[in-house]
Amino acid sequence: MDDLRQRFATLDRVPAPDLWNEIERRLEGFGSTTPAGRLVAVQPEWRGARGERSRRSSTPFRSRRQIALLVAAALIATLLVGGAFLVGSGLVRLTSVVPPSPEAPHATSPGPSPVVGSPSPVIAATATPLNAFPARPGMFDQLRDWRPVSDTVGWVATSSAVYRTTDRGVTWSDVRPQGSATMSATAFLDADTTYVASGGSPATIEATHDGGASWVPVNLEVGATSGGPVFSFQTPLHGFATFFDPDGANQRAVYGTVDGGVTWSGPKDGSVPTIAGGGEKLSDPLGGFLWQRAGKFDNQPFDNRFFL
Amino acid sequence: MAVIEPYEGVEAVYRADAERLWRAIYAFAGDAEIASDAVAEAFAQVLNRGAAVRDPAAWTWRTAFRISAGALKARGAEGPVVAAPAEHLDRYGDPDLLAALRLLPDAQRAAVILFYYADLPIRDIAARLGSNSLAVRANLSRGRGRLRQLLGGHDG
Repeated sequence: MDDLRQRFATLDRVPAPDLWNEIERRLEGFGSTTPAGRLVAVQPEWRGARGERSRRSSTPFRSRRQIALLVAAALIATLLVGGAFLVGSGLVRLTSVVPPSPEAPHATSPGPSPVVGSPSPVIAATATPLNAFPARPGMFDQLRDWRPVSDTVGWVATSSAVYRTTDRGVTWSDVRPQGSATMSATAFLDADTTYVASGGSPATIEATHDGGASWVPVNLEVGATSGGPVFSFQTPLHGFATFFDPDGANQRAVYGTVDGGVTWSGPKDGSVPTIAGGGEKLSDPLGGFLWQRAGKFDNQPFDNRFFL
Repeated sequence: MAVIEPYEGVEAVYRADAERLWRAIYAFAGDAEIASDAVAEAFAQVLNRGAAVRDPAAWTWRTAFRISAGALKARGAEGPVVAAPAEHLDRYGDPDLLAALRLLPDAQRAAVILFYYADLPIRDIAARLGSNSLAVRANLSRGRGRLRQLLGGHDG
């Protein structure tokens, strides 16, 4: 009996994503009137092998007690909304709701942070941020990278700042991370998730999962291979940063994260395929890395021995 | 703009249970995407319902399992699934176990995961699967037997 329990305990090592932003996003999608449309779409409900009846659970609002609770909840919500308007003169935003982190209290050391940051599920706002401003002349002069990630949301990196728009570029917010002086590499993955790296040794990689409201910085001692990094992400939480020797020697340091940039493992610099000829460059992944050479893709994925 | 005050109980459940629930669903569905979708949806739903849900923890677990089972079914209906390579995340856990789990029928797999991983008593498992104790007991026993059989070669 215990052997199975022990084996199941290994499941705890599988990294689970922080879904708070996603939950918040979906909650906003419901609007304030209709309770829960999607659950209906999941019918027929799943049952155990013996086709037993579980009707009771599929009719949620039956008992008087539940209805009373619902009315009470509506009352409380009304009071809260009213109070919020009184206090905040209409400027109540969800971004201010930061559920306390489940782990130890947030470390607030401003200096070079340890390799482990502290994740805090922050609720992202998709509405126009309060501190947004129209683009200023010269704001994008030092343009490094840009990417529209949805119909309305876009990111821009200049050599010293990161800007984000949520209204097709009408207004912008400066969401640059605290630590990064240079934007040697950026990865704009979606409306909420962005990774920014500053080169040098140590290099710093900072990640945000709430549209730039908060960043998790991690310093990496990359040594001489300080070119790059080249980012490649398979999901917002899982990806690689590859540093390389800017002089073109065959030296690489690959770091990987599976938790959205809170921790990075590595470096691994083992058996990189050796390819003769110049013009090599690491490029985006298709299940691994593609090796680019002289304008053509040489489909040699990293052999998964590193982090996967 | 609608101001939604996250229901405190749910927030506590999220902090205490979300990762565990995600891993349970991951083991159940064998797919990180389904797991994330099911768990996020379940929590969003329970938040949306607020005080109407008496036991947010049980409700969230049941809903997440239901959604992921629905997703699995939908995927199954789309056509034969190409034998998916083991997910890379498996490597962090016990790949043999996760592979063996995928060979069990849904009901057995759910029962086994909730019993051995979530550490729940039979009665709670039944509540969270929308099932009854008898069925859970039967599924658990069958699932356990099959799992032992599948893992036998590696156990030594």
